[in-house]
Amino acid sequence: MENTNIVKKKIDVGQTIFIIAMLIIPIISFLFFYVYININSFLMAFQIPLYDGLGGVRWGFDNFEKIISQFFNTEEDLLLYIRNGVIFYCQDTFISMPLSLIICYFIYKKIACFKAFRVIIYLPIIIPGTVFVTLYKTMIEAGGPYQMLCGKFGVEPPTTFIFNEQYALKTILIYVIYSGLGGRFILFGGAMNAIEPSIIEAAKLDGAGPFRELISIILPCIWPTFATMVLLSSTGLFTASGPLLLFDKGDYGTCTISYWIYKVTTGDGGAGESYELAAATGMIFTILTLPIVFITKSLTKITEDN
Amino acid sequence: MRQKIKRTKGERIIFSIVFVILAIYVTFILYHFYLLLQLATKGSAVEYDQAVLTDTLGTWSKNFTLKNFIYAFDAFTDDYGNTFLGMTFNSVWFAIGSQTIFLFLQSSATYVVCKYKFKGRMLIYNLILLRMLIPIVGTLPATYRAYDMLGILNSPLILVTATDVLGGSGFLIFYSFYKAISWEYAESAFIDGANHFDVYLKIMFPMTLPSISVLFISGFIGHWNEYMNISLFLPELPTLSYGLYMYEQNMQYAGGNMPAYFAGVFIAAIPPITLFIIFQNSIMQKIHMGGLKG
Repeated sequence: MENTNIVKKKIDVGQTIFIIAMLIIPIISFLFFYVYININSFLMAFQIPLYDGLGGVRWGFDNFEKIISQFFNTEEDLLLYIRNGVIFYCQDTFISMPLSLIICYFIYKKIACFKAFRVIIYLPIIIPGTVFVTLYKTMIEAGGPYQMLCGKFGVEPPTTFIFNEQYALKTILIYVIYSGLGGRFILFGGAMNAIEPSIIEAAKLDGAGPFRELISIILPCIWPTFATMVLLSSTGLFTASGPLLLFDKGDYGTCTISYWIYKVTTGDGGAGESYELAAATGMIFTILTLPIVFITKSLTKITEDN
Repeated sequence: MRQKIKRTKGERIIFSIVFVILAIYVTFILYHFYLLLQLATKGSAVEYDQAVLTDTLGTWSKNFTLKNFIYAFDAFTDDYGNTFLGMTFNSVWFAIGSQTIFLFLQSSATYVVCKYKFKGRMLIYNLILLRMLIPIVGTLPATYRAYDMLGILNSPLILVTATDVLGGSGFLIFYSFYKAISWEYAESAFIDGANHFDVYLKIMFPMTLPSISVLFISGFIGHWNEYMNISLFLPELPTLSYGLYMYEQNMQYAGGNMPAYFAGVFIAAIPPITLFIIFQNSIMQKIHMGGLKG
């Protein structure tokens, strides 16, 4: 918070009233929607519903015992949920983000038709996911153009890519990658546009080619933005659920921890899967995520001013 | 006058290869919309079903019709009596209401944290950063119960949740805005007799309006497209995006007019696309986010 213009006055009633007026609603809201809900979630993790019709609970560690036992049981779905979360995280961090950065760079460098590319690549981000996923599904499923194309080449495609454990996850991953590349255009583009043109000119005079320029000049210049993106991606390891609801609802080997918790909340989680169990699961995965986030943070060496 | 960009031979080769790759990629994206038009203009639901059986969904109908765009308004009525227009109205109030409340409060709170020194300032700042850094998993059930307790489920009162502004990347964006604005504007205004509210509302806030309007549009689009939270917290007041999803789900079991559905899908995509095309230059150039410290 260095270099901040700060009003320094010993007693200023007007200023105090102003600060209170500006912060009172956000603070009350924060206390309820963040602090209260998280405390409640924490307490729920230690509750075991009695199903007595009165909403009664008893206290204990049963939820945690149940989840921890699932960690060591390969027949349980929990390991699958974790695996899928890691796959989606890797896809986002190691495929989508670098690809997005590279495309953004060429748009920044005003490649031919860059304005059209920018708008069209961003289209999947701005139109409802329900719309784009429906079109993607129609394209690849029975009756769609992909099936027609396969027919013309004499290839026998699977009858369904989505309701099929062999293909569902791959199908969703392909969708998330190609439809999400524009998602970081605003922040990457904004950061690149803020780079002093003379820096780029100097690199050009030194004979830097496009990739050298991207890696050695652009990336360091936009590092605070890029590193923040990497960090936020790591925080989504177990909190992001992707568009599973629009595809197979996680039923064909695609479910993640976050989506399973969503299913439990909607009452679609399955027998014996309660809000309390979901809260305990959430707590365990919050604890598991923390070191990953802080390792990522230290790796990216994020500081406000670098 | 447009300045011609000079590139070396090596650069021209690289840019040409990238151009071809990007051209193929955007053609594929545009094909979705081409397909959407083909689906929305099928002559009838029966013809659509036949096209599924013969793998000809991706062809133009011999009985091409635009009537499905009219049928779409009647086809979508959910179990709670929400019509296509009703869902559109829900999308409008949800998206505009959420964004207006959220951005005004987040801008105000960030301005104070960025520009004023007071007890608890660093605590607020660090709490915001900590909230961003520590992803708490699995609070959805507790959130649902809290909303239920407040009585805001299936009610426009759900907009009260937009007051939760101390967190998120929006804070970093606003922080960058206000950090870049010189405090000398405020000092001059104080000398002229302005109070703190005047300075914020008449000088600082207007200066960030171009950027805020961009955040508003991108946030509006995000809320317009929302469906997961709607399915949990507003299922009886569905937005268009969620309504389309529900209609598609029902059709899988009960059948329905698929061409009319795709016409509805087409209509639902018009507002965000229009907004984006109008404001795309501003959206792409006016947002800049700093890094995290702490």
